[in-house]
Parts: sequence; C-alpha cells; structure tokens
Amino acid sequence: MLKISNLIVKVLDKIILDDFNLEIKPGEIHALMGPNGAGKSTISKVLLRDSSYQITKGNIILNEKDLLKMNTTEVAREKVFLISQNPIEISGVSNAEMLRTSLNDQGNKDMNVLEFNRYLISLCEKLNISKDFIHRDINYNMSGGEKKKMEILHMWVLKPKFIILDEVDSGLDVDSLKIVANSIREYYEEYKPSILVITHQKTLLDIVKPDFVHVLNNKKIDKTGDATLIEKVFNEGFSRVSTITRSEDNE
Amino acid sequence: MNKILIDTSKIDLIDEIVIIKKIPDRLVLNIKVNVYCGFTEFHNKELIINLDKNATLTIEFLITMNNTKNKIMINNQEKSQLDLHYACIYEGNNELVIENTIPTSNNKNNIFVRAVESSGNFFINATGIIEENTFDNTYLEDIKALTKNRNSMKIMPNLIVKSSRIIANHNATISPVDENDLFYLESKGLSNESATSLIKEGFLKGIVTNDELKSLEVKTNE
Repeated sequence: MLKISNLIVKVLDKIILDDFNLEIKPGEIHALMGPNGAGKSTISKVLLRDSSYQITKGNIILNEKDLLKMNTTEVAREKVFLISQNPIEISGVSNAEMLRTSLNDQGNKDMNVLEFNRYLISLCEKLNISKDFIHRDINYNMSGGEKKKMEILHMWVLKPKFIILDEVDSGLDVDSLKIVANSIREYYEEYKPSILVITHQKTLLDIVKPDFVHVLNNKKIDKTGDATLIEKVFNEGFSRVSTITRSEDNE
Repeated sequence: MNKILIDTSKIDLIDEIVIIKKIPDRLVLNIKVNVYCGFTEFHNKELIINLDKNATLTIEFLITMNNTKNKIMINNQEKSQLDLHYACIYEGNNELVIENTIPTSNNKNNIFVRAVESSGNFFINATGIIEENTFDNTYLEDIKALTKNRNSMKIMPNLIVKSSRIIANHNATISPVDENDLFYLESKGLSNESATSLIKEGFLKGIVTNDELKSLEVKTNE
C-alpha cells in the first residue's frame, strides 16, 4: 500500500525528516509517536503533497505508483484521507457542497441527492452532531470537537482506503474523543483501511488498537514495536525509550 | 429621468422582497419602510438611495461586471439602516463608486463588497462621510477582492468622520485564493478547478442573504 524509503524532507532549507523509512501494508494500523517538534505532522503533509515541504531525497510508493509524481488531488483519489489536528475553516463552502463536488469529480455523477442527504443525516445522528452542520460552511464557527466529528463524517462519505489521523485527539473532550475513536474503529471493522495514527494520547490508541508502534526521534523512526511500546513510552517517556533503543543497538 | 418611488402610502412594501432584473440607467430608490432589493444585473448604472427616517434597506447585488462603471449614492435620514452587499465577478475595465452621506444620527450602515477577478481590472472608490453634529451612528465598510493579479485591483476606502460620537470601521483586502483552502479541498479529492470555483463562489455568496439570489449559478471561469 505505502512504502517510504530514505526520505529527506526540508522546510525553508531546514531538514525536518532525515532518512525516514516506513512501510504500511493494506489493513494495517500504525501509530507514530514522538516528542513535540519531532516532525510527526510533516509526514502527513508530505503524503498529501503539501507544496511547502521539499523532498530532497528518497521515494514514496503508494499503491505501486510514485507518490512524489502526484499532486494533492491525485493522492486523495488514491483514497488517501487526512484528518489534521486543526482542520481549517472555509467560509462560504458548505460541507454538503464540498462532498457532493468531490464525489461528482470522482465520477459519481448519478448520485441521488435525497438519498445522499439522508445518509449524511444518519451520520450526524451517529456522531452526535446537529444535522444543520451538513449545510453549514466547512468547520466555520465550530468547536474543536465539532470540527473533528465533521472530518469523521467526511471520512464515512469519501470511503478512504488509507487514513492519516494527525493528532486528531487534540482539543477533544473525553466524550468526543470516544465518539471519534469508536467511529474510526467502526469504519476500520467495516472497510479494513490502512491507518497511520499520529498522536500523543493513549486513549485514542487504546480504542483504535495499532498493530505497529513507531517512535520518531532525531528526524527518523528510531524504535518500532507492537502495542506494548505504547505503555513503555507512557511509563518512561520518549527520551528514555530512545536511549534504551540506542544502547540496545550498540550492544 | 427614471424614478421608482417606494412609498407606503401607495404600495404596501413592509417585509416585501423585490428582485429587480431590468433597471433604467439612473434609478432613484426612496425607501420609507423595510425593503429588500436584489439585483442580478447592474451595468453602467447610477443608483441613488434615499433612506427615510426609520427605514431599513437590505440591497444585494450578485452580478458580472464587464467593462462596467457603476455608481451608488446613499443618503441616510435618522434611525435608518442600510445593509449593502455587492458581490461581483469582473472582466474588462470596471469601476464602482460608492458615496454614502450620513447627515443625521442613530443610523446603521453595513457595506460589504466582494469582487472576484475573471480577467481585467477593477477600481473601487468607496467614501463614507459622517457629518458633524451627528451621534450614535455605526458605519462598517468591508471590501475584499480575490484576484489572479494583485495589480488588477485598486481599492480606495475613504472614511471622512466629522463627529466624535460614532463607531466606524473600514477595511480593504486584495489577495489570491488561499493556498491552504485549496490544499484542504484538493485533499478531499476535488480537482484544482472545482476547488477554486467553490472557494470563489463561496466568497461571493458569503455576503448574500437572499435564497433566490444565492441559488443563482455563478460562473467563475475555472
């Protein structure tokens, strides 16, 4: 599904990721953890081809295609979906308009509008948000929790096969976090997408249940393990886990 | 001279909505009640709005300007309220002049202009004059333009305040379509053309309140 090899990423001539490697196979859930400023969010922007990030070395293969030759739309049409930590507000463009246009652009031209609206309403009920949000401007005047729930609604409509959750848990209260995390898990059970979870929080990982956990430090992944690594990170901290890794490697 | 007089003694226009499609080159609106006016075409026109005491007018434009020169002059009488929403796509050489005079007290004026470049140039000269010996007026003038070429647009927002008892605010911005907005929509699978078009349409219709006007198709040439 996704293979990142020897990636070097720069922003304004500063190296953010150096020799970054990661492989995610279909249906796998990977968690990427790391201290503030380690470059975790960079990888989500790079995968979606944000032009502010310069790739100076390495390659990324997505669905056997060269991702670095794609633009943002092309990556999204490979069914990659990003939920960022602070989704932006777009005044004047409603959620329904955006979703209809996206589906229309992707070839779903004979969509039944009434059926589509009914589906959106059922998703709002499931996510415990007002159905009025469907016709409201994208993320406009919404709380952090409402924004994340709308992004989850977008996910259910666009049916991605590869989901990047970039600190989706930031700014969420306990109840909203559980609704969001359970909805992601439910989506996973139904469609088995690959998921990359970037987070600082344990609650999200407890519900989403990653198969692999990576710790990002010094601009690259320096520790990979199974879900037990989460406990280790929360008990001992990122620096201790990385120190242990380096001494184990030296031995 | 063509003149349309809206007068409660002759026509009951309380809570009335008027969508004007064909208008003369010079139009005078005497507003004596609560009126909504919507324009879908407005090409080389001069519009004079006289707001009577206690009158309320919401006047909205969703138009294309193509080598167009429009002028809007507003006179406010006491305790009147004006919401002017002017949304346009422009091509060719265009000019919009807004002259708003407030010689009385307790008026509210909200003037919003949104312009999207299709191609060409646009000059906007908006002047608000708040006369002396007036009090408790509020005046907001907000002009924004989305352009492909920054040099294609010139905005002159003038505010001449001769009274100290007023809340007045005016601003003008000229920018291209926001890259972050484009990235967000493209990351949801929209093509660059669809995303740009949605953003421009939303930018224009964001100031329009009337559903009939809002439902009109806007061609932004993406």
